[in-house]
Amino acid sequence: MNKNIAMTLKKITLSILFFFSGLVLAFAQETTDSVAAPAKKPLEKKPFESGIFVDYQTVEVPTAKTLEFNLEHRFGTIQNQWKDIFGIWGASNIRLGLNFTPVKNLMIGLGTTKNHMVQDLQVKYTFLHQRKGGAPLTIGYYGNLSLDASERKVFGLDYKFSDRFAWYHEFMFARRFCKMFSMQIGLAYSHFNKTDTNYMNDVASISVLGRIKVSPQSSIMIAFEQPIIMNYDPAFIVRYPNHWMTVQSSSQQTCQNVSLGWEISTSTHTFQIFMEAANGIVPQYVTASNTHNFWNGFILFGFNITRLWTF
Amino acid sequence: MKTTQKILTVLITMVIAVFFIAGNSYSQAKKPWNIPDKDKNTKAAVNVKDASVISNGKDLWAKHCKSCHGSKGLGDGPKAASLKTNPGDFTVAAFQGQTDGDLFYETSKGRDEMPAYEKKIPEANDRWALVAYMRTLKK
Repeated sequence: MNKNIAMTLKKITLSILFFFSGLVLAFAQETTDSVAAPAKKPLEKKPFESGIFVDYQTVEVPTAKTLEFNLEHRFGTIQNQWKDIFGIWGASNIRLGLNFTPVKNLMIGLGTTKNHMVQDLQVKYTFLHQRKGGAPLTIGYYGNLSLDASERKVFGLDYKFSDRFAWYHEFMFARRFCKMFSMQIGLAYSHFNKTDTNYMNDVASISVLGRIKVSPQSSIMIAFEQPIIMNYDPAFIVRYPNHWMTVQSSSQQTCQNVSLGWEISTSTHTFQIFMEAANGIVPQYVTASNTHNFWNGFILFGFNITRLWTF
Repeated sequence: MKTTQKILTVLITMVIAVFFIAGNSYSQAKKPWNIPDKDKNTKAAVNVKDASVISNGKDLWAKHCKSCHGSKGLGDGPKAASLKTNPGDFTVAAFQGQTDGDLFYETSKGRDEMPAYEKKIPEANDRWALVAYMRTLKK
């Protein structure tokens, strides 16, 4: 009986996400495929310069036939101060990624990350663009499938290959309010096939990104993510029937992530340097496994470099 | 005699090589654009004197063009020295005497080291905004 309740709750949550995505797609179709449609309203300028924004994806997809290389580096936390020069020589995490835009608005990519030896595949599609006097938002979808390539012993005695997988889905809603300011809200869901004891497999989140453009090439970046832990464990739901979804500033499992940074953008490169709490880089690891509490001073520095080649 | 002949052969070969390389560099700087007549005569799709259009063009210049062509279009950007082709001086009459269509075509299609910006800046109005800004570089 309790198992049924847990499965039902899981199905309901996933159904809501997919139904919502269907609504958004229908809206996109309605906006772009009218019978005898007048001339399309001109596109608004893009809200972000790059497809990555600290740890997060934006609605931005490079133009078709563009190859993108991402170098994402996170230093250690500043806790050791001068002993490791505020984390510069501390335990770091690095991701190398390669993305390609085969057709307009669709990006596919792959990456490799040092922590947990994560190998990931990703896809992003922007299906509605903000227009002047038209659609008020740019809306996109991002998905990531990752494989933890750590040694088998990490996964315990009852190991199955599927234990290594985790996935992440996000819908992003962005708007360029004016030349100086753009904002994006992201609704995300991450799932790990296997986690440590007392950790939940499913974590949803809401993220808010803000970009303040201070010059043609430079911007201030601010990001905040609130994880929402989904407790599908039947025993937990029986004990705490009103708490199967919990929102906390921090927990044993994961903390809020706060980021503040600076972005410089050129024709072929984007450079971002920032401070934040999470060091997972891969989105599901940032959302579900960030144990650094920003408000307690567990802060680290990091940078992203993106390079574009257009064919 | 044989040694002298060898030295002379090497020297003459080096002199020919220097002239060949210099001649190529010179010819790259002076190579004309082959712009179709219909593109030459294309009128700007935006008002090139509109302040907001010029402002947009200025922002795009800063991001995409300044590194080679310089902030004022003098061809003295930080990357210019490493180019085989001289980016040119956009302030002089020889450049400004081109039509708006010429400038739009050259920006969009590019050639050699000059990228084809119709891929990086897919919106045509943005490339027209760049043309509008280039007109303000005139001395």
